[in-house]
Amino acid sequence: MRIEAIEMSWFRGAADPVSLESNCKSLVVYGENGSGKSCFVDAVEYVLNNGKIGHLAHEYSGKHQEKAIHNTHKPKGQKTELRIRFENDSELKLVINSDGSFTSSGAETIAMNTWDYGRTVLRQDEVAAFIRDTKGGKYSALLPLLGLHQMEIVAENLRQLAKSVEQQSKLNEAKTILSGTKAKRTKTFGTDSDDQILKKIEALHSSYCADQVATQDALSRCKNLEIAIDKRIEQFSTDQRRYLALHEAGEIDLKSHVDAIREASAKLTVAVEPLIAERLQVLEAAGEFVKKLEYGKDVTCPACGRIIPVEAFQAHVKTEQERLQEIINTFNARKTSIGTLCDNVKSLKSSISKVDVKSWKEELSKGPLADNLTSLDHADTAALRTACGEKDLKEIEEKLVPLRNIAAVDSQDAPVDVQKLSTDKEIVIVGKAIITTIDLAASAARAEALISFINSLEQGIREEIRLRSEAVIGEISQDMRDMWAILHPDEPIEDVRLYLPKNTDKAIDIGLKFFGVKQDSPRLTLSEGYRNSLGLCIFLAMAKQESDNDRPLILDDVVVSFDRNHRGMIVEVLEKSFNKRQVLLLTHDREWYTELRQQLEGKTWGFKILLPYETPDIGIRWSHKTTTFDDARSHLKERPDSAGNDARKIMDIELALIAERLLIRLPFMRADRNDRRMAHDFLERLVADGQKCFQKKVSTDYATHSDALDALDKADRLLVSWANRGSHTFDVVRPEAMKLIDSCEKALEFFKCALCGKGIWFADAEGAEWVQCQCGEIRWRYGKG
Amino acid sequence: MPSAVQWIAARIAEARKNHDSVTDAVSVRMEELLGGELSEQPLSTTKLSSIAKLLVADMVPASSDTEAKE
Repeated sequence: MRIEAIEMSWFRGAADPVSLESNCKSLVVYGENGSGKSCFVDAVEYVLNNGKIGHLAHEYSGKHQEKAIHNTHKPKGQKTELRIRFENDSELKLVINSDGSFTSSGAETIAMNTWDYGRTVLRQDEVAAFIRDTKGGKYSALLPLLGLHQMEIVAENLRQLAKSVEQQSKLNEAKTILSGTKAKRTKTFGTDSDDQILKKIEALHSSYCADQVATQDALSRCKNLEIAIDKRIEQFSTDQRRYLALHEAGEIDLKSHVDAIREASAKLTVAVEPLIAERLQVLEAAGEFVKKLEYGKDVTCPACGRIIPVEAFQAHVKTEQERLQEIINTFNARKTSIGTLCDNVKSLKSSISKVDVKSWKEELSKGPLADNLTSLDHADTAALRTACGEKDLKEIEEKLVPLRNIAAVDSQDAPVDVQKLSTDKEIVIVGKAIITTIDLAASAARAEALISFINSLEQGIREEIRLRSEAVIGEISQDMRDMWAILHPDEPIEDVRLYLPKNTDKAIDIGLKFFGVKQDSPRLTLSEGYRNSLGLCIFLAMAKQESDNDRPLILDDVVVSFDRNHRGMIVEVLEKSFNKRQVLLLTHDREWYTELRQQLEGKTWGFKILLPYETPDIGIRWSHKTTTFDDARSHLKERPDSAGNDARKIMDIELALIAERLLIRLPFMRADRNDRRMAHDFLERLVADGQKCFQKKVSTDYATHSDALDALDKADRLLVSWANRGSHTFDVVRPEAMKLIDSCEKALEFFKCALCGKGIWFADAEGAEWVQCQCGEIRWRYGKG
Repeated sequence: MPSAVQWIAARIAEARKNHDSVTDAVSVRMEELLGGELSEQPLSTTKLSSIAKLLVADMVPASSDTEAKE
């Protein structure tokens, strides 16, 4: 989809409608600084980025950039409009409202909404942006080219799915229960296996439930046993029941849970305090984050305050969550210990409240532990569960633990049958808990296996993404190297490439060799000019990946920091890789513009010049100066004198460039008069030196290029007579002007090879004293001229 | 480059190598999900929960009557 024209009315620097007409060709636009070139690029960006222009994002630019979009001197009643016409005659029209919002028509007929701004437009200040970007930012920029967006979605969905499975299977709760049961099992059964435990229960069942119907179900056995043991207890004497109750109370563990809570609390204090300090910046950072999210690539993370690109935000949050996970684990452990401690306090309260220990309690209430009993009576386990601080732990340690200890001491001399019944009861209770958690353990194991499987799949897909990324960035790297080799032949910076850093997901970086030494980043060694050159290679290599998409490339003043040798080779890169794609090249460099006019084919390239900007109400204007011999011919009929004069102007410019390339020896003149030489000055010297220097291949040798010299001489003579006459007396008739134009055009054509189509240039010269065309058919031997 | 179906199947087979307890039912469902819902867009928590429920149920071996009833 080629752009035929971009028309603007009262948009940015434009006043009355001004149109960049390309006729679907590639185009070079010259305009000095401030002439309005970039307004056309702004127009494209405004369309592609839904009414936003990146370089206008500023606190003063207005909510919808309304303060910067409209021409500052737009008269009342005038509309701000954009129109982009395409090769298939479709047209996109935007009418921009006073608040900067817009209404559009025609968008449905074109594919422009699929264009990615970052891979369509490259501006001067964006050339090295990719190099400056973070590894994550580079990955995000490349992601659409990698075609892996869908796989990234899969990987992220899998990551979230693993969390969902954890929640759905209540894995954490199950683990807490299983962990509690495991502790009781160790205390009661030591290292006994499941079978050994079941056999112990079976034996107890035979002993206590001999009169009952035999059952093979372990859980039913436990239930029967509980009933049978309770019946035995009912038959106990008061003393026996007191011993039993005290034994139960003495078995309750309070101290280890108090210690566990203290340990977890200490860990949390160490971890949480800096976390809280960081979170205090959250509110401040969040405000800035929201403001910048719309445009900026770098934002302050609301979680930790670090500067990060928007694209990397999700990945960064993931890292923060992982960092928090350790704290979460400690928090959960503390919560579990508090829960167990509350249960145990409740059990202690229950055991000591039994009627069986009433006399024991009365005895105790007369001694030094009276306060302890009061504390136990007032213990509020529900409140403790929600807020368990050091004061509560100290209270438990000082008041309840001594009660538990005295109960343990007083139950030590319990009769053997009471002790046995108590032990058997514990075996049954813990055994029952183990049996009931067998299913829970199995389901937790399945959930863990499923989560591990999903995590493994996610890793597999990330590996797949990596493999495919490597393939695509390998192709891009090859194109980068090819383009770099054209721009920087025989230079000690080589092997430029993109690569995926090891052990880092969603990241890409740039590597190169600097004087043979491998460098992980161009930022380490390259100058600004080289970085820009590399940035251009990267942009073009990425654009080349989309060669199937026939969208234009817009390069706005991208060679500002290039020296002329490197700048001169860009044409070769464009011709080699983008000869079928529309390229809009904007420059403020007049010299380069003239070079491009010489080097680029007129069939596929157009050339435009903008006038210097005068005032906002006049706006952006095109120069209508003659730029080609065809332009000169177009007004032969009405103004032959002017047409002849235009031919002379073209010769002045073109011959100046040719003379510079061939290092023609001309006398030095003071000040800027060197730059004001006329066509005649050059032609005279070219014809004189050309006898020895201008050569054409004849068989395997070279001979003086006589045809060229004759043509140059003829053009010179006609220019002296007719062109001067045309400028001074306007007395040139049409046939004369036509002959002058033809002769001038023919003379210039001799500097371009008929075989390879390239002009005489430094390219592929045999030695320092030669300049020649690409194939060597014609050459200028300036060194010994 | 392998087709979507091929690479998904290959990755599932590879992941199952270290996860003996993952059932065929999970494998089949996961293959469908990777080629469909999971690759279309970031899924909501509700949608992920419903998928998780199905997968948790699929993890119960079909041969165990007791567990299958769950």
